Amino acid sequence: VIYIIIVVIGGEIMDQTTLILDGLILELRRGTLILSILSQLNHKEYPYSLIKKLSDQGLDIQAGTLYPLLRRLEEQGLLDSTWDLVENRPRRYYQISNQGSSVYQQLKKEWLSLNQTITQIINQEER
Amino acid sequence: MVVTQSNDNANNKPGGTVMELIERYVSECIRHLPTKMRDDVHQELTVELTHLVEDEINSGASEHMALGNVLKSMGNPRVLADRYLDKKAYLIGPRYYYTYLMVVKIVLLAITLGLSVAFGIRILFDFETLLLSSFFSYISSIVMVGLQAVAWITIIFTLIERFETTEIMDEIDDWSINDLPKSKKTVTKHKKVESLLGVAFSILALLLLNTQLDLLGVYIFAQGQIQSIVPILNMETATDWLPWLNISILFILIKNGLQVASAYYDRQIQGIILFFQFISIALFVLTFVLYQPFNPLLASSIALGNQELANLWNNVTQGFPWFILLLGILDMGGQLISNNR
Repeated sequence: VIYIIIVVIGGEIMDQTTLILDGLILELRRGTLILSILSQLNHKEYPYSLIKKLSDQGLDIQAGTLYPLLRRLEEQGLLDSTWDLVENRPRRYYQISNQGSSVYQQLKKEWLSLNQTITQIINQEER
Repeated sequence: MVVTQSNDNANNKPGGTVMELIERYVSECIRHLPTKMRDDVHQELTVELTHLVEDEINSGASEHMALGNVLKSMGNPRVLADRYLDKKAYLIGPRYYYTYLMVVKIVLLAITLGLSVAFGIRILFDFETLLLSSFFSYISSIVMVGLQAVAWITIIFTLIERFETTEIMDEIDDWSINDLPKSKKTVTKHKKVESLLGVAFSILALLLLNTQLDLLGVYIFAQGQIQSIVPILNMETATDWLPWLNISILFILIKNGLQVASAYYDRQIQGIILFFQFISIALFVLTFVLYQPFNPLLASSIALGNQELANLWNNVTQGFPWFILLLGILDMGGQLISNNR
């Protein structure tokens, strides 16, 4: 009985930890997604090719997250979009706008500085 | 490989071809979007989902397994639509939620109190015939008026939440220690209770004036029973003066509401409170001076031919607005002095 209780409680704690961790990872990734997307749109891409491109570089992004995000970035003026015909199928291509490029440069600078600071803090803590 | 339009019956568990199922998914998603967005999102999602499915098929999955994987990764179409909309998925956000709850509680309390007083007076007036029917109408009034009040408060707070300007947000974001009120006066518990009573009495006055005007009068008893009520206010001219009186009471209600909602008074809040109080008193006095809402026949209805009573009533009605004005000036003056101390 004690064994079962330990297993059940242990399982519950593990589940909760996984849940918290998943939430934190999601929050951590959310802020970096836009930076990653902007970095890949110097040339026009359609959403599917962007997913592949990011995935090939190790960043998996859900299609259901990417499509609305691209629309939002376009509404904010950071991206431009055009409809083109490819293999007789219309596709929507996205490319970074002038405003987007300027925002991206600022974001990149911020990210590099943040990355350096956080790495330093973590390394100091672990020493 | 390109997704076919064929109907593969062996694998078609959800029913329909792959293209049909994509179409159904996309339609379900765009159903929740504004009309102007629909065509665009429909076209883009259809093309993209087709590509994703083709990619899965090229990796070795069957058509329907590929479709299942893709749609599962896309998630609930309703949630996807919400992401496109990026809308506030709540009526009242955390910034106003507790104020909203407080206002609802105060208003419901005041309504219950007001209607209970009215019910009590009605019972006193005609105990035998009205008890049961009055009780049911009393309960249903509380429910109906309460529901309406909650609905209106919710609508007002929802509008505040939706149309909250970015300037306000900027002001909040740009806040610095220098923005702290210079002369902060914490509202004492005593003052809060005073303002709460003010809110309750304002709502009570509004309810009585607008629904039970005939009950506001001099009760004439005979043999221990109420024989008649002589209204204090002139009911025949009520359409002239009642709207102005309502506005005046509404201003005093807002003033008291602000006092309840403020954790402390800075000069701005003090100014707004005094402004509302001034407008309310001015309207009140003007209404009584211009429209004379008192019942001119009260004295003669109570005791016909009693000249003393008639004179007294005349003096009371003439002097009342100036008495209120004097009280108002004294109260506002007292507040100004205490605020500047």
